[in-house]
Amino acid sequence: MAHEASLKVVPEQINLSFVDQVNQASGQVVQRCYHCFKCTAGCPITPFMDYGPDRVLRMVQLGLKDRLLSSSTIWLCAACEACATRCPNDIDIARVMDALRHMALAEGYPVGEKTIADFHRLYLALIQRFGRMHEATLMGIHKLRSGDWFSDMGAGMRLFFMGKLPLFPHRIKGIKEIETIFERTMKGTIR
Amino acid sequence: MKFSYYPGCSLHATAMEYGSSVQAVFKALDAELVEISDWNCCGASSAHNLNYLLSLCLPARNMAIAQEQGQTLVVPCVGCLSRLKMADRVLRDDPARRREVEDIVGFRYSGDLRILPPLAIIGHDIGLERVRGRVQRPLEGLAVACYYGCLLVRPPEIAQFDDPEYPRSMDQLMEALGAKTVEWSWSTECCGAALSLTRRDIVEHLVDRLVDTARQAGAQMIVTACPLCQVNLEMRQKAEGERLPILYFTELMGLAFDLEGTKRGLDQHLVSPLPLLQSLSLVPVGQAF
Amino acid sequence: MTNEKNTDRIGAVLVVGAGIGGMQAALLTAEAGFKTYLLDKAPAIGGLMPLLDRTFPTDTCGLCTSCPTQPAYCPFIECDRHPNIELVPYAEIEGLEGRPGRYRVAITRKPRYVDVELCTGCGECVAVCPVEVPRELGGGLETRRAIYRPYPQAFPDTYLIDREHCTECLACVKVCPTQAVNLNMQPQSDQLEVGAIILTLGASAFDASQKGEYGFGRYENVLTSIQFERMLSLTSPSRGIPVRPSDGRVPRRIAFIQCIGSRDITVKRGYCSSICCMYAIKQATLARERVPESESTIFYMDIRTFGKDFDRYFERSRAGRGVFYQPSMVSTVKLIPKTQNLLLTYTDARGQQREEEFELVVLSVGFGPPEGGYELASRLGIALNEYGFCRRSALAPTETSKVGIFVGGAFAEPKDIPETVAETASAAADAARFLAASRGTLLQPRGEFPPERDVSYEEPRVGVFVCQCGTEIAGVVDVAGVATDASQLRDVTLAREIPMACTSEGLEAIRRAIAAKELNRVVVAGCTHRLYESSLQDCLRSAGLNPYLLERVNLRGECAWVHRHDPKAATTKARTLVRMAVARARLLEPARRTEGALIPSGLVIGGGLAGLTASLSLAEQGFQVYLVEKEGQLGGNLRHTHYLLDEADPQRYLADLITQVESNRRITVYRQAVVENVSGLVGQYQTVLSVAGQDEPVTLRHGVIIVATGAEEARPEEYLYGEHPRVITQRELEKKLAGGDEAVLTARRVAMIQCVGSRNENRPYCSRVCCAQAIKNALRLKEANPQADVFVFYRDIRTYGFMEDDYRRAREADVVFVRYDPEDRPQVSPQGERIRVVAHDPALRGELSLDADWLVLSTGIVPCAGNKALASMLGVPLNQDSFFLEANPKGSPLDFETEGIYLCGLAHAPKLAAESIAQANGAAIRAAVRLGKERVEGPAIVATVDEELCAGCGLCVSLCPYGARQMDDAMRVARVVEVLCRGCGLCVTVCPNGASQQRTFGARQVMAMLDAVL
Repeated sequence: MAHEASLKVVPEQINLSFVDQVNQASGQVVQRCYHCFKCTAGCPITPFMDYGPDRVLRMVQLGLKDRLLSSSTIWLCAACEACATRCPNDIDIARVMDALRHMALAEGYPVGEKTIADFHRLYLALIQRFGRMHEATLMGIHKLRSGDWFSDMGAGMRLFFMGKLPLFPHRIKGIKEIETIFERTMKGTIR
Repeated sequence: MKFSYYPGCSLHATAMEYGSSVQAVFKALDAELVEISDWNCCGASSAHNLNYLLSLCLPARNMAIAQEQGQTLVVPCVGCLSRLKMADRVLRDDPARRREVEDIVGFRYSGDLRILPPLAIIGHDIGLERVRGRVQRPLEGLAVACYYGCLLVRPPEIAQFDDPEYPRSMDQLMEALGAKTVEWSWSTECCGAALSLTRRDIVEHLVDRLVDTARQAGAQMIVTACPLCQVNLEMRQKAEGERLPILYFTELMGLAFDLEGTKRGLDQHLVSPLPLLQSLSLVPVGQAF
Repeated sequence: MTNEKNTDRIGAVLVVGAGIGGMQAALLTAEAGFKTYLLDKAPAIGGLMPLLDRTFPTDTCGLCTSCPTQPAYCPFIECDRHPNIELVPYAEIEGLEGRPGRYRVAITRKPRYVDVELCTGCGECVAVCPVEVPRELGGGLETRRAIYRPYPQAFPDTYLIDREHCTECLACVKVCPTQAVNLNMQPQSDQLEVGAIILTLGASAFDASQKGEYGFGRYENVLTSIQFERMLSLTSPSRGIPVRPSDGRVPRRIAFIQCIGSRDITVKRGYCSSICCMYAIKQATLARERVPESESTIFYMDIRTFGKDFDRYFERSRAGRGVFYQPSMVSTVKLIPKTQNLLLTYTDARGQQREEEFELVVLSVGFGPPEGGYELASRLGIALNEYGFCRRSALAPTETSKVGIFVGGAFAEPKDIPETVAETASAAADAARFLAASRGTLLQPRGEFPPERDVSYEEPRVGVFVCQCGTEIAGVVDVAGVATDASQLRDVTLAREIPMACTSEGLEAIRRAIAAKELNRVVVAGCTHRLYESSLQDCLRSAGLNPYLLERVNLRGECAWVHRHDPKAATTKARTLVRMAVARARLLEPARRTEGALIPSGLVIGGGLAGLTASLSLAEQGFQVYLVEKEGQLGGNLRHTHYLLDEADPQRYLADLITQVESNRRITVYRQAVVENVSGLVGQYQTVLSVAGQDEPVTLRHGVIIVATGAEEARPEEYLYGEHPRVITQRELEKKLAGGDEAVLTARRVAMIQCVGSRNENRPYCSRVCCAQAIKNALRLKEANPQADVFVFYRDIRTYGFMEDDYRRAREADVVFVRYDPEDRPQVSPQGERIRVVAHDPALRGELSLDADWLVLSTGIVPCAGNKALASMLGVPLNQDSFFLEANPKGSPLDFETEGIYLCGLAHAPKLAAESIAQANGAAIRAAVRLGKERVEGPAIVATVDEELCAGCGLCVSLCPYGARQMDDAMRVARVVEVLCRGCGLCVTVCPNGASQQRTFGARQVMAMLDAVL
């Protein structure tokens, strides 16, 4: 488990306008948070994060952009929405995490959790190619890339023999439409 | 009753027993599921992680297809359901986004497509009375923990289904089948499925907690409505010791309805439910499917 | 507000909602001379009060046991027996017609299905009723039957049937001995004609099951604070001991979760409910007191103990062992099936996730608008705010959107009892001002009694009436035997049974017996219900006897009920008690109330907002007022308030108020005037003023005094104040903002520090207004200068009530709030023109440092230096912080224990402008009621001094709590000032020579009673 990183903020680092960007991108009002810690208390991933959810909101508010966008926290969020459901200030923190990740990618920050980011990229690449997910390919390439070949080998083989991992991908007929969607949304940022 | 059906990628692969049991159960309840044509992946947990607009457009294409077909769209995979409903909400509430997505996907959003999980259809449109009437083999003696996970009920303004903190729909259904449900406070805690392949350490920690507490609550198995949860809970349980079977609720419906077509799936689990079901005489000993 | 030409206004008031606020308002309008209807939709009056066994911060029942001022002995009884109050329980308002001053209110009286006149309260019906449903009182932890009394002490004291759950088995109909049960009763339409309406609907508790993460309604051992309050009541089934519903075990580890349904916009409750922090501390403290090995943890966001003496209460709970505070909200409550314990998830100070197990969880539920509030508002045509509370403007706290309809208490905004009492008094004052010209036009003419017979030369002729009380007494005690026994006693002329002494038939029978047998002493052996005392006394008076020739015996409570299972012992005890009563009765002497003249004018000390408001209110209620201000200008602290959190303009308001006061012909203003001496007592005060520019002192004669001397802004002695030019107070910032100061309007970064010099050892109280002031100024600054970064360093943000919306507004406007710990305060140091502030930020889990162009200190409020001198001049107490101390913090926040002196404004404690206005207006009607009596009347049962025995030691003089004892220095004996004496008996017990005696409870009478036992 990761322990929270300690922080020290000096006057020059404070930038109270960053929150506007994040609000714009996430559709939330981040600074409404009064730090009741309910999100951090209920987040299943808190023990593994470098910054707990409410702390992320404070960092957004203070404008600690560099530290946030290169953090692993924003990649670890499982989007389970427990925080959003229980937040008394009606802040959907999962949406904030989404926005921070998008910002990190767009501005070329070093990714805090490379394996996770790579996984998502691979996933989308497969969709772009076939229009649907192909789990056998996904698992295979992911294992190959992450160098962790053998950890789930047993389970994977068993699923395969149960017929639950079809060998060949299905490509949908409307793949052209999918390509258009990717072209116009991602603008070639996957790879 | 006729419904459009969006299986999503999992129900054609790792969750094929969910797909087949949903189909069989609906048929048994005189409800027809018509798979929408040439659907695509909803983008699952990856699209929204990397690109917001993409996470709206991928589901939107499916909505466009379903909209044409006219009927209510049934989405068994909770991951897909959540993405579709999220996109639906944005298209409904944000005209600028709607125009953008309509333009990219090439359709006109009508706003009258109902998108629902099978549990909602069974509990509401079909009704538990009819379910009870269809039970051939009550699941007597079976104690289950109903696992709703995250996205079936959260966030409530998107999911708009059941109580986000104390959902009861699956419990009521299981009780209608004759099973006993246990009081289990962890029924909406996240299992971390999105991180299953990337941060096994985290996920094992979460799954252990779920399985341990379900067992302490007196459950003999966990019942779920989500393929991501089901696979994750099966795969990431501790290898050693007694493990809890993880079944789809539709599989238990198939068992209670005595539907031949659903039984084969019981054999397709990483944690086999058969010893338990046999010990309760819900499945004959030694039967091969 | 008053238009004295409006004599066509109806001299009657309708008070809607009979909780503590409604009862107090009704008592005041009734005492002020208006016919008053007190309506409630519930079958019994009282609102939430029956739930409260102990109230904070005194942990006593502040309502009846410790409150000597009238009318507030017990508001239930006072309302029930007041001749000008008509209770209208179990009724709904259907519509409103007419115009302000002449309203016609259509009401429906709901059928009780039990005839109030016939019901004897025997309870046989309840015993046979087969239906059991949750009892409303206490959140449904206990059950009741379909035929029921809401709770044992309910007023009115009769049963009713809940038709929703009644199965119509008719068992109650058959068993009722007086045929009081009638299932054919129909709703009855009625119309009330009133000049004004006061809305005191109160609030309703939040439904905790809406917050599913906390498991209320799902897990047995998760209770609401309403349920826990009931459990802690000594009348609960567990007799005040907390128990777990799952297994009846006494919990050792209890968790309180705050803000359930408060400060939560997701359930449309964006405001703070204001009272939950204090009641949680009280409940945790009481639980610990009842079960010494128990421990409680309170999970909270901000501790809001902003009221008078509240912070002390909080600190005391923290200093003792057993109540812990955890500043984190709980994410979920989960059940551990094996133990039925509960697992709570929270975040610790280091940001780490924690799980902790508790045996019981209490959810501190907030309060929302009253049930049915929307319907009522639309029927009355008054506006509500976004949350469904009554809408009002900032500086008119008791006016609704409709003329002649006033509001007070929690229906306007969630609030605690003292504020409710003050505010509903203010609403009563508004009604009294509005109807001033019609005062006294609709009062019940008091019945005339025949002249009193002089019995002093008669031998005692005692009549003994033994009440059967239906079967309540006769079912256990041998009533006939007791009567026969009594007839043998010395001087007993007549002894007989009587079916029901308190009914009109019973009273008439007693009256006739007195006349027929020429009785001159009466013993009624039945109950000693205080309610019936006055009717029995009136019965004696109507037979020509002095009302104090009456003795009562409690056979029902002391014999029949407590010895229900031992009729023989009950009867023996009854005989003894009657014997004692007869022995005393033989020696009873007539007594009468003392009277003195009263000067119908008031002195108001202090010409700030409170004093101005009180003066104008008292004058508009028809009394002469002398207003004394020590400064040359009226207005006090409000002169430094340039804007408020809402739209109201305080300077325009103040100017307008001063004009009204100065032009009112009943008010005489003395500026630059100092009170030099006060002498006399209620009704007849004499005050000497020295007025600047006048050689001769001014002497004023007046009946009452209102203390409104205000308070002062504290001067900071830390954080570089006075050393660095850019360190200022909030008041100074406000002035700069109002004046458009360039250096403020171009500032890039401004830091504010809260609780400067407050809530510490030297000044252990919260100044209450500083959070709101800081937020007000921060918002104003952001508005004028959006580029400025504003940081507020605070301990707890205490924006109670709807001010929580302003706190949210400030956050949304990018004001950054940083919590600090008093042990680790922000460090400030000069940084050239700027000031460096370094603090630990718990939200950041790190250190935050910034350079501020301005450092603004929230310095709080301190009492006036002159309080001590004035207090000793008036003979009234100060509290530990040198604010004036009211008679009772709950029930009598506007009165001193010394009759005729009233209190309002900052002199009482720090408060906001609107609160001062309400309190001042409330104090004015308290004073007006006193002045309206024309004469000062004391109780009949007072202390006496036997001058032969008195040694002049003065012990009684120093101990008398009411100032009713004086030393006659010439004669060296103590004297009783009868109009001040409350008959408490303290002087009797301390007198070493037995010179002090209590009238009608003298040694002779008491010894005779004791002899009768032995």
